[in-house]
Amino acid sequence: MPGCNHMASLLDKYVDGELRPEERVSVEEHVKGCHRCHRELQELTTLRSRLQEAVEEGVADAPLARIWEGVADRLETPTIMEQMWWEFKGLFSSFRPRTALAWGTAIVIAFLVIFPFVTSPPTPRVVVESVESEHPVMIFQGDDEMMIVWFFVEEEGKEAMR
Amino acid sequence: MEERDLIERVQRGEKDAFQDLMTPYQRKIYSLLYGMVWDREDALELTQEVFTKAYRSIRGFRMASSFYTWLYRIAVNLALDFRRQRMTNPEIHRAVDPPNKERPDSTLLRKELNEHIRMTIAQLPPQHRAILLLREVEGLSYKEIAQVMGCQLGTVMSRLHYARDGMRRTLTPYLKGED
Amino acid sequence: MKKSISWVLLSMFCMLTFASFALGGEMGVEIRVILASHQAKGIDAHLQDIQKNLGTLFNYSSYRLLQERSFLLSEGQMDQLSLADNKELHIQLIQEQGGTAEITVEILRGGKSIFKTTAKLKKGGTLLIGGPKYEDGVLILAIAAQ
Repeated sequence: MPGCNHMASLLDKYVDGELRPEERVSVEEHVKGCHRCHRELQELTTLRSRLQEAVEEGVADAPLARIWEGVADRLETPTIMEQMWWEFKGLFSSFRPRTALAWGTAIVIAFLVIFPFVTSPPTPRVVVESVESEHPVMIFQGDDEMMIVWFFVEEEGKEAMR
Repeated sequence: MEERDLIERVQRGEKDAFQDLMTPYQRKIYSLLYGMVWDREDALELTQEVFTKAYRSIRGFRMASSFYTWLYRIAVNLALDFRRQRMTNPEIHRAVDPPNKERPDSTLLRKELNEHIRMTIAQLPPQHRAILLLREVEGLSYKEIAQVMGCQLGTVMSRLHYARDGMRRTLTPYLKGED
Repeated sequence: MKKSISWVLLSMFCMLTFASFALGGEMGVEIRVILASHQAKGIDAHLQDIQKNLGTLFNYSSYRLLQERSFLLSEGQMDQLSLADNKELHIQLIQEQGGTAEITVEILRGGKSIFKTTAKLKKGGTLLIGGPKYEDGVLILAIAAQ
């Protein structure tokens, strides 16, 4: 029978109906006797209901009848791309694919070689996108190759280090 | 299959068949887009964009995936582009107040909770938000979500778990207050 | 001659296009668990590559390597590492694209999450996570993309 640590991903799959029958039984057996996982399962189910209600509140008065007016307007006007395509096609009436592709490749390769020398400095090799912690956190950039995230933890019964 | 027949008719150029084809999906697409942008007018405009794009690109639809996953894919990509262009997310700077336990009125509590849900979901990274909505509101399977998002199954599961975790941590006090 | 050049360039184009789609989806990650303290002096020989950074960023007198482990993660895959004091580290590769890995790192104590971060790492980049107390110092986790 799986322990609590293994349950996290199984509970998601359980509420999503993505488990095999024997796995479902295993989860149900565990949840019966585990208060923590039982609570987590309830929270997942409640969260789904509330999210659906929140979206439904906005959709209930949706002006769906107006959808087709806007679509009809848009379809009557050719897109800029469609206009450009017809002009482009007219310019190149004797189009040779292989030659064009070969020249295109040469341009791309030249671009890739020159581009690094004429553009702004490369992006950092590490970027922190988000942090979650109950403890105070500090984030600072070491250099382009290093980033530091420091969280301050007071251990119970132990003195803090200076 | 009626839907397949409608698709083929639209692909042959029969514009009239297009509305019949899309009508069953208009509420679903609107619902997904509303969850992504939380504004009725923006969601309406985006829905119109989705349908327009679907009409223009339906000749490229090869029936390799289901029609609705193809349609959802267009919707998600347009919603992600829309957010990138608009770059508006004022909710992210607003502090979330603790639940007011002195307000017993359940309608007010429900409105407050919906507002908190809206703010919390607005803080999720856009891809995580899309996956959460596709699963929780639209009811797509992991495999279908992977097809819509153009990513692997493992990515769907990890992003969904991350999104749910974030939502639970912020919203659990409100869910408990309600019970 | 002109025809041959065209074919060579065409082949290169195809190879470049194929390579950009074929690669990706995995990333090697190395995690080093370091004990930093004021109670001893010196830096572990295995930390020579980041000695300069550690010396510049922190003012500890001693850095000792407690653990070192390499993972090869596929997209969506999670792996874990036991740390000292009933702590665990979970690392998950969310996505890898064009040599940049989006990872989630979580530290748990007694099964409860005490810290979680999402970061993007390119090869050569190192994320340092520090703070948890251990023995007479603190733990610093050096997470590097390989």
